Amino acid sequence: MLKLLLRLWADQKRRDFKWGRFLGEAYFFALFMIVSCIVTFAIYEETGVAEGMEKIIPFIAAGIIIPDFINKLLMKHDETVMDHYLKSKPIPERTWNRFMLTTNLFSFWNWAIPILLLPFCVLFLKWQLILPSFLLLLGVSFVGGVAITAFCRARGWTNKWPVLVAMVIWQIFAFIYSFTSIVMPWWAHITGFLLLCVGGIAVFYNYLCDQRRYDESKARADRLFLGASSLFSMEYISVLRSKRMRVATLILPLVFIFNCYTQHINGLNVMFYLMLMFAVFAPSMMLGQWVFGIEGNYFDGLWTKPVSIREILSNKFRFFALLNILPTLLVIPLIWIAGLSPWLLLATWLFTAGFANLTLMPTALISSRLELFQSAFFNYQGASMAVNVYGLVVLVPLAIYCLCTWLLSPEVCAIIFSAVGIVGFALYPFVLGWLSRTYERRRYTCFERYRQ
Amino acid sequence: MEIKIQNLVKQYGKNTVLNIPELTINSGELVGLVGNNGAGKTTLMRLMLDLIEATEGYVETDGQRVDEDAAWKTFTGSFIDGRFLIDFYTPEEYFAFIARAYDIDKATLDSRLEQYRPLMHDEILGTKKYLRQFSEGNRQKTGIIGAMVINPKVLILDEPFNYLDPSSQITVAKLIRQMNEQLGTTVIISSHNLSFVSEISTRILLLEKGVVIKDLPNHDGSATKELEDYFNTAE
Repeated sequence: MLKLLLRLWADQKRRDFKWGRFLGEAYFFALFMIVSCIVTFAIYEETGVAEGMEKIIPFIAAGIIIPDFINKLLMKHDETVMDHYLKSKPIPERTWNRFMLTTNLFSFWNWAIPILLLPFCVLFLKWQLILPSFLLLLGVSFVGGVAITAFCRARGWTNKWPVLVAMVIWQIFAFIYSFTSIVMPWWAHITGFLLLCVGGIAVFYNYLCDQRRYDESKARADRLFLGASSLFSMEYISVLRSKRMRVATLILPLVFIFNCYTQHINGLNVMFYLMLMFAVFAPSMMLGQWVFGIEGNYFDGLWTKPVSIREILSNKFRFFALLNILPTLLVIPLIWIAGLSPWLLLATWLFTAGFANLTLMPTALISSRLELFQSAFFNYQGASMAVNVYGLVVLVPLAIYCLCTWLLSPEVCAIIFSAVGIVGFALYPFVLGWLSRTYERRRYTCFERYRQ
Repeated sequence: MEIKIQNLVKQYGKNTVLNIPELTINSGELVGLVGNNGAGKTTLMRLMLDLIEATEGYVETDGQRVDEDAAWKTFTGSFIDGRFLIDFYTPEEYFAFIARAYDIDKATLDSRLEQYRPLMHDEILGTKKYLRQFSEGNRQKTGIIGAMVINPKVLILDEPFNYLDPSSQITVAKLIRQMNEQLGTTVIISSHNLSFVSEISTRILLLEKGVVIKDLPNHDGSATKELEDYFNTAE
């Protein structure tokens, strides 16, 4: 039965396989691999092969536990619940649990970090120590992988909390154990660590087996908002209630805001301003790359109602401007911390909301329907060559912003950005009018794209 | 509202899926579209709602071409499939959105929704569920109510009896006929359920491979025999 489940799973993977997606992921992984190699070589150049480098391996293994777990929490998506088709077949729960454990062996995210650390092992360790070191990193990663499977399988926070607590205990235990490598023979220590990993996997696997889950749709809405009947409210409700949109709109701005706070230490240089522009622009940039991507899910319903395209576009433009306010507010402390000009910050918002957002609106003509309730991470559904090429246009406001902040004083920049932003706000009704007329002319092509 | 079709052709590549040289649906008629799969029923409805481009010809509602003038949207209620529903809304929000689009105040909306309570079976309103979390049957009901709650002058429903339990099918049939009789709404429904179609329709159009092969007046089920003969033969 396990063989049958694995074959079914493999068939499904093969059917869903897309070269574009694979190459995209491979590209990003290769970039990380290159960075890993460069860093390792840089250290190697600096230190050379020192005696006893293998003693670091247990510390590295203990050190990756939490970052690896967080990484998997965001990226690793497991099949943890039998769908209705499988549930109605005579598949024992035990077989399904074994299936979940087995698929962990093939999970990319369980292999990712150990492979990224492989250059370090190859360069710094004796050849006979490479394999056991790699196995240890892999073992630690697998503990995290199975923990994530248990976490996904557990229903409700009452059942999810024990996994998080167990991970913290595992981290503390592994960290303390790694110190024993100083006094223990290396081989004995690594064997002990591997046995601990096996124990960790067994604990999480047992917990996973205890969790009973059914493929049930959520019975109730999480929360309801009042005033959800206007066309404008549709903008924010669609973002708040779809996981993909919510995560995409929140994560990237947070990263850039964090960068703003770390970057200012090096002075208010062009890199800082680039991060600032990205932080303010990121929420609308994420949503604006697919204008009508959300509406594509119900455009037939919208088109047959007395709702104008121009009105929807105008609401979107205003909503984007509001979205840009949030990160702007979050970087206000930099006025006192880093001496950021408040006028330049205001001008950055004006420039983004009035001008940069306007450059996003034409994606309404090329966007596809977005699956709203899928994961946001590494999700290429809805992507197309046209959208990717249009991404270059989005670089124009960023380039203008960088060039100005590089060449001109903050005061002059503030005047220029404000002026451009205000002109954008003055012109947007005309631009959106033109855009809505163009959309209506090409509507059948757009509708067809949404239906695909 | 009168609906006129002139030389309407829809082709996908070289395949003609609909070809209606001329057809008039008179104001206040309740027209049932019947035919086997691929007969062109849904295509015709989509063309009436300007959701797909006609290869040739056009559809006129109230003397205006639907692909050139959006006036028809203000008096047309329609439900074709799940793409008419906003999945992240609750039914209350969905109905409120429709009411807002058609300038219907809250009190009127509430009183109209009251008429549809027998169809909702207490399973739609007040459940605090998003539309995507409903069963197909309840989604279908929500879509139908959304189309009817505006008291349209033209009502277009594709397969309204699909996914519904028997009592809901009867209720939907009654509500459609009631709307047609009391408000004079021009109704176009498509269905594979011959008994309901012949029970409520005043006129039945039988389509085959995109062509209207029979245009049957249906007073007191007079078209039933002819339809049964056709579908028996077709088997």
